[in-house]
Amino acid sequence: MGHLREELVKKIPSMMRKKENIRNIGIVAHIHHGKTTLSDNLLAAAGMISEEKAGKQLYLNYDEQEQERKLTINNAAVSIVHGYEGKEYLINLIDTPGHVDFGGDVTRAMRVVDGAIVLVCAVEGVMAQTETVLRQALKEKVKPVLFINKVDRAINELKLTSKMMQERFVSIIEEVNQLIYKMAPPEFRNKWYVRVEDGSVAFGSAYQNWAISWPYMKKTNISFKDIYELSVSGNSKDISNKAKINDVVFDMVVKHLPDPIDAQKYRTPNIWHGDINSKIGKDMLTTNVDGDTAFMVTDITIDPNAGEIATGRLFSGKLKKGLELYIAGTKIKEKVQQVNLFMGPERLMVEEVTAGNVAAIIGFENAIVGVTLTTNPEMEPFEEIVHVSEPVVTIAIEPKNTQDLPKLIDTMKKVAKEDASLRVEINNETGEHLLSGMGELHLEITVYRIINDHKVPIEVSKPIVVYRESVLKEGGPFEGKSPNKHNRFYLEVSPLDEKVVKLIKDGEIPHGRKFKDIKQIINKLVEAGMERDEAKGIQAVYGDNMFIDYTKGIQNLNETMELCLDAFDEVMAKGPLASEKISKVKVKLVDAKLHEDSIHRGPAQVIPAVRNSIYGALCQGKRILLEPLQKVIVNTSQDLLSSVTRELQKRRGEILDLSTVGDYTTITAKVPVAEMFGFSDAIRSATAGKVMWNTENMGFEKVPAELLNTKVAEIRTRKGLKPEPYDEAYYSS
Amino acid sequence: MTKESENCGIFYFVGAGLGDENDLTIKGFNAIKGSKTVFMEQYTSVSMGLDVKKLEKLIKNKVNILLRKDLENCYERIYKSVLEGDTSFITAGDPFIATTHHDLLLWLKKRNVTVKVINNVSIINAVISITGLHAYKFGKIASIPFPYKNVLPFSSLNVIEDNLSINAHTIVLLDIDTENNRYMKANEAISIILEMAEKAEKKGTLNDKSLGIVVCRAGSDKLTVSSGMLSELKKINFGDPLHTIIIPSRLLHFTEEEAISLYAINGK
Repeated sequence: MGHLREELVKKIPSMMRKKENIRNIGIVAHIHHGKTTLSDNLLAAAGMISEEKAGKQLYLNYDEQEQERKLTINNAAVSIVHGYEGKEYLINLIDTPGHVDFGGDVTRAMRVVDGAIVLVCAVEGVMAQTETVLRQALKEKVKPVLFINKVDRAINELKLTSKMMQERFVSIIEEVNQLIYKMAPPEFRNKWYVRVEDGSVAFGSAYQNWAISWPYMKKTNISFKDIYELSVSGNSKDISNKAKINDVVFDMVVKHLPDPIDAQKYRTPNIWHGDINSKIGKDMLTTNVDGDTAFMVTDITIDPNAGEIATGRLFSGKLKKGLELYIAGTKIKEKVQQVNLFMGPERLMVEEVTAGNVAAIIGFENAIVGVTLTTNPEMEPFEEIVHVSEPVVTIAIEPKNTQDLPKLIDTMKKVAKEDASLRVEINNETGEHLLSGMGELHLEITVYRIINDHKVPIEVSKPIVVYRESVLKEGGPFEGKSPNKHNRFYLEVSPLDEKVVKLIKDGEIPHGRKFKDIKQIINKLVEAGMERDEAKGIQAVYGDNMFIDYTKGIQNLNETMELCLDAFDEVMAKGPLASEKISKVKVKLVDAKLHEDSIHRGPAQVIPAVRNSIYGALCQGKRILLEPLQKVIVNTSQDLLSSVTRELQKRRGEILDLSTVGDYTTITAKVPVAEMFGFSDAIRSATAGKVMWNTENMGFEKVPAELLNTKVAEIRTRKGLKPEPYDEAYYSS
Repeated sequence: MTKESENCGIFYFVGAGLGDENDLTIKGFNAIKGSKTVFMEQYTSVSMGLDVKKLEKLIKNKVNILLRKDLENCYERIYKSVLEGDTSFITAGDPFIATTHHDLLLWLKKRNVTVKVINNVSIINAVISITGLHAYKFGKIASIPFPYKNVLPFSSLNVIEDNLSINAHTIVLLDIDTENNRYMKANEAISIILEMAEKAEKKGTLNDKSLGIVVCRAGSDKLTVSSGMLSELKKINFGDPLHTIIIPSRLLHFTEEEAISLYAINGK
């Protein structure tokens, strides 16, 4: 293996200049559909690792713990050379995590690739996460091809006949195409269908190391029947020699997925919102090697020896040692210390990398995920990466030895830098160090890393669910008085329209205050159905809440607006029921009576008045508590069905769907995250470890009325508050 | 009136004036001495020189201090005490110049409490008489709050400019934060005023060459008065609080001119 690899290492630097022969791709799939096995066997077949090791050693999963869990967690990139119709192609393969707990990583990987192999298990078919990852890909204008995996299991375990097998393929392909039609950008809706006839669909077994496609069958005269028979006979070695997985899959990639020149034409305006006619805009549209450097960082890892490794896609220009790059949008400037390409876990030092490639740079301390590094200080940064999911579970972390505290804080900041879906909150007042993530597993893995990779011994609290508060209907106007009784504020609250919430979630309307492009924001709000007079009053967005000034001509209100917004922020961060964050609420200032003198309407007066007014209005509109839910998908055999159902129902689970293929049943249920703690052990002991399951976050829903008071009291007590929340009268004094 | 208020006493708002306990009026002192309960509020302003311990000795009664944090529930507390007998409520200066207490007065009147007000000297008339400017020529009062984030109190500048435009003097009161023991100094306030004058969208006539008068510790033995250009006054540390500024009109009566020149910092 060593010899072949060395040869490749020599080839890559010259190949990365032939832009039309480059493919930047990723593999996306539902969990356990075989993505890592496919990546490994592709690498093995391409000579990157030995065939014997592939499949056993999960090459892309170089974190020890990932091997244990058989889950792909971090992005890693590899470059592979593949020959097709007499030409050599450089394929940059980015590994993307499939577990939705790590949704943030998937989105990031989608930014740097132009095409994706969508992997679907022949046994399970299209699953919830298949849809999620495909949506993320299509949203970023990443073109898909389809690989139907685990065909061997479908044949041998489901005992499907050759005809049934083909019917099953047809139904999977149809389902994928329906998703593409539904979610693809309109201009590609009819162009990006995957088809057996043109070879944009392949079938095979990553585990047995073979694959087949229609063009390949024609070329080699192998029929599906041959494959079927070989598979039934169990002679996998023969199939893998006849139908080489890397040939079939990479042929498909080269033929159907775009090169950077083509892709950057239509992808640049999608992920970059600067002036497309500016120099840098044109450089990126044309993948100009001699243009200004534009490098988008999509992943940061911190290597104990090398330091910060920033991986990303180079859209234009070059990366070279010693080159000075700005972080776009800031005045920060640093020098590139080293340029690398990835080879599995290894990084290969190269002289330079040119536009259109995926690369890593070493020693850029100030880079964080999502920034743009450029030689052009005027360049508009790439669009901020939008996170699809929000953290729903929090743990408190303490160092075992107090002297480790500074190290722990440093480490927590580091892990949050590496994984953008983690949130770290360090409260110096309470001495609490909180880590929030997408699920129990996500946090377990992070804790493992803190202890084993960063060597900080820590104590961890039980996981705590993150709740939200909201309002049921309109409330107010509620009169809030300042302590000196000389200022009165009247505010209304109501549930914020879902369409407006979506605008905020999609990043169409930014967070914060003092909006730059206010006209455009107003138009967007009006389009979403908001009354123009109301839209014009937009003052602030905090979380997914909005503050609107609906007053007219109140003297000196402009001087107190910052104070009103501070009160708004304060209330939105700490709801009246349980001090949890408020979600989807519209707060509207409808009237204010102010004192003539500026000292009499200072912070100590205005903030409490506005705060009380919003709290009071929320009471009138009826306060509600929202809890996060998870979609739990369990694959089980018939005999264990009732044990699984019982376990789910015990946890306030609601069964959404039951589907059976052969002996396999897939149960989909909706379960509150709060009830999911310990599910892993419980389900294992209930079924003797025979079921496969995974989860997906489903957002927040109202806590049932009969549980509300108990939940609220529970959270308040945990936070050291008196068990009952204050009532309306309290806020009116 | 309800039954419980048979013993209901009189509620006295007592102005403490500006200096020390000797600045109480005899009437005010008698009211305090005759009261069953005595409160002194320190959330709107303070009489810097008033020694509470001394006063307690003189009246042989406890003085209950009310801070801003007590404000929320102090009405009920005050009401309870007046139901049991005469109650005095001491404020710095004159009771209702800081308008805050009117709310308490109305609140008590609604509950049929007999309220008496004992006036005293306030900073407003003190600065006028100290400086020798004509009381007839003052306009609206302005105030400078401690800056909050980067929001400048332009409404205060507007008051000064409006007054200048009608040739009126402006008294500029400075923020105090008794809880954190912060008192705005004259030079800080002048810097804020000048910064606003520079940044104002609609340019006025005030600038760093404009005249200002700084009155410090009015009512005490350590009173100082200084007049000069704002640019010069800005550089001076005026010492212990409280400070007050006057921005005089550009049209001065000759007696006003004479009075101001008495306090000129550069001898002019």
